[in-house]
Amino acid sequence: MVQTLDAPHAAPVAASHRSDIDIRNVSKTFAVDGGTVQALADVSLAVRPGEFISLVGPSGCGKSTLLRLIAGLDVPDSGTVAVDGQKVTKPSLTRGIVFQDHRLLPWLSVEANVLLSLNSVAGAAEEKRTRVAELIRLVGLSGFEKALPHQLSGGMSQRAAIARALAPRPRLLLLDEPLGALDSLTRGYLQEELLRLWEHEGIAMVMVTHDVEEAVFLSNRVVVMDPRPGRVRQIFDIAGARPRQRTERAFVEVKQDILDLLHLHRHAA
Amino acid sequence: MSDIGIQRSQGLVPGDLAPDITSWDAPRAVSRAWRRGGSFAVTVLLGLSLPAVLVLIWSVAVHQEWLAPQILPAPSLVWQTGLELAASGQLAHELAVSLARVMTGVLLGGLAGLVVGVAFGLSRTLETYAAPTVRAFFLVPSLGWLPFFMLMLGIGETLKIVLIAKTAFLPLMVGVFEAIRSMPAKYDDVARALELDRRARLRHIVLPAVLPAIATGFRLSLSKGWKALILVEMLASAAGIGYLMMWGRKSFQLDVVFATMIVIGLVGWALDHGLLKLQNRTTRWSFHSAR
Repeated sequence: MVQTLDAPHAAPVAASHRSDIDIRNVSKTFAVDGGTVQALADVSLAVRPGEFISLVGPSGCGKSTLLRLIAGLDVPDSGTVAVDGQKVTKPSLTRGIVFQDHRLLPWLSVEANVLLSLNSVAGAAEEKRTRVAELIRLVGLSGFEKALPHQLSGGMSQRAAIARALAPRPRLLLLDEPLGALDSLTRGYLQEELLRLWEHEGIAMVMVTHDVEEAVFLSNRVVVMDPRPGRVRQIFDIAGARPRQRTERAFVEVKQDILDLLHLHRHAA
Repeated sequence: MSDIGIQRSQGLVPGDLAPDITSWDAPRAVSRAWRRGGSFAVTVLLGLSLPAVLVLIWSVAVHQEWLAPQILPAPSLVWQTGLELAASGQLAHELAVSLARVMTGVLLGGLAGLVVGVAFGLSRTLETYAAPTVRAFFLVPSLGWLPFFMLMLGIGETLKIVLIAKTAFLPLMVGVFEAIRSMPAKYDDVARALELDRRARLRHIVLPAVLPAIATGFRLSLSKGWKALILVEMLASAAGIGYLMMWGRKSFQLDVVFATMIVIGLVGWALDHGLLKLQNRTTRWSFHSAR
């Protein structure tokens, strides 16, 4: 009976609902003030099903562009982005996205904002309401269903945005600096929440972040990117069971390695 | 909303669950308190103080005979005339005629302005071709169109309705057009990511975003329409509040002129005030969030 909500699109999917991403030789150039900026140059990357992967790098390394390409909000000039073997050409509810600014509609309550993500999904209104309530509970916003976005703190807004992205049961969640605008306390708290959601949903998550510690704390792999033109510099495998201890030696070491690499090209730039 | 307040005052919520007080709560709480209880009476009294002073000066001016009584009738006489006009039912009748005209005209013109504004807002091609002409057309004052309209339509009801509709058109058209164009583009991404079709986009994103502009435009249309109506009733009519004023002037009854002037001002204010309330209802949300 939740069939329709389970699979919003009649795509042939494995029962696990886990998606893999295959990015091949992708390039993207933007026109800026008469000139052009190459945001991505020949980027290839494979994301495994159920993996948590972070993209880090200095401004202009094209990490957000890459995320938008996976989302289907932009299309590459050359190369292909494929999810589950299907070429991405436009956005889909099977690929949820959370932006840095929550982008909730300011005139809709938390509840209505989440419900809007089910607008294009088949299913009875009753079912959708149940799903929305479930999601609001999952992200810890119970009691704030009727609140308008401007009445919420930054962290709460981002929780609502995550609920909105997860409601249509995506097979993949894309996070564009989701915690970038939050204070460090809220940030640490929401990192643990993200980890819990990732384990709960069992889907792959791709996160763009500036915060190396955050990336190491959450990810299976951290992709370090170089700027101008944006390309993959190095990929770090992060070992260790979660939740990880930020003070552990291995944690601190890999974090330092990544930071060193980032500082290296800051000097080069 | 109340539970947000309660949770905050208990101070038990983790940092990210505590709403930012300064950015939204304070001004609202103040205005709520201001509106509550006796403060409302104070606001009304303050609003009435200036009219009271004006009437006082007026009385003194009449008493001291600064102007001839034929030019400036005594407030008491104007009051008396007003009461008589009201008691005879004439005032209510003329007002009803005028209000019916202004409502019809503003609704027709406003609706047309709304449709055209949305069309221009959504289609750049249409805007490029038609907007300059339409704007120029409507920027010629109603009074300028009057001779042409009079010859075309006669001086019957159609003339008044058309003239008010013409006046009401522009504020709504421009308001809605500009609201659509200034809509934050970031919601486009949201609409696409959520796979909203054109209808859902209009209903859930475009319309709510421009609703405040519609309310503002409608309010502006009504106040402009009201003024235009009085004008056209003075120039070409056999009924309506503007006609009553003109009749008073022609028969040199300045008390009637003053009484109708006051009624026109009061009714105009009441209409505007009512729509202001409506307008406030459409802007309870805000683009600015407590980030």
